[in-house]
Amino acid sequence: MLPMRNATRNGLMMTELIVAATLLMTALSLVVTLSFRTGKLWQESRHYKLAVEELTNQLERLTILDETELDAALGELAVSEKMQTALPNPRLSGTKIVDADVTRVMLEIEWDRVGKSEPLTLVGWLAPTVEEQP
Amino acid sequence: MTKQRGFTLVEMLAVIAVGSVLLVLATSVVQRAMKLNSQWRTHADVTRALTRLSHDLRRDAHEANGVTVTQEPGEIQFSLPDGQTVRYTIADDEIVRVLEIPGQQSQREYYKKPVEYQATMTSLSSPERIDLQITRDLKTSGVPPRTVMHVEAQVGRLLRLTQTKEPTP
Repeated sequence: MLPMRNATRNGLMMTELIVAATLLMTALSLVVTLSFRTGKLWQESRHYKLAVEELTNQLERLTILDETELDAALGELAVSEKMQTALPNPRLSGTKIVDADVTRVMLEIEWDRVGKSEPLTLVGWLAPTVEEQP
Repeated sequence: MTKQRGFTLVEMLAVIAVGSVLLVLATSVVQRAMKLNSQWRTHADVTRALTRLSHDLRRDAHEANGVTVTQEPGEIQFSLPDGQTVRYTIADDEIVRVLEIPGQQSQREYYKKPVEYQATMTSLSSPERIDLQITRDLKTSGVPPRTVMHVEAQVGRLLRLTQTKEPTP
């Protein structure tokens, strides 16, 4: 049977409806996922920036101490009050590294993040004392 | 059988109704996309300005040999070597840095911030430090302001390091 020319169509085929609905649902789910992902990314970058600032602030305080004071300060090392509320469950740890002629402080901060992430690390060198000058 | 020409009123009404719904949906999607784009741009601008501010404040604090903090209006003044002074003043929508060099015109720098961002400056002791905190009020009851930036810079750090490097008599 030959197809009819100029045949009038009333309504839509079920296949067309299903295709349209599928496309609409895919587009919607993409937009929703992207919105959530964008929000999460903003939050992660804000947390990362705050963590770097926290390490910098702590290192500024620690690197002017002499070695004896540094040991005591590392023993009492704690995340600042402001960061305890700004970052989710932050953990701060510090290590003194004594090389041949210089002493370094290595600070590490961790906080609850999605997925497995390495802790953020920052290293600072102790300011040389007058006696250590050549 | 009579051939139908044109549309009935019911068909027209149905088409107009469906078209209106689609138009409203499309408009809201476009509006949302434009709002999101604007938010992204503001966020990027604020992040850049605050990073610059953090860097400049630390550098000025490290180079300073003295500091004065005034709470009303929020202001920090650093005294630099050679008689220079740097003043940071908090306004509603910006933080201004003014560098005064004796015998020269003062230099101004502006760090834009949205009005809902609150900045507080405090002075800390042992060792002497400057604390600048910027928070964002989310305007949601029960939710505390969110910390956006927290800088604790040691005053006179460079001066101290330079002094230790000078040979002792």
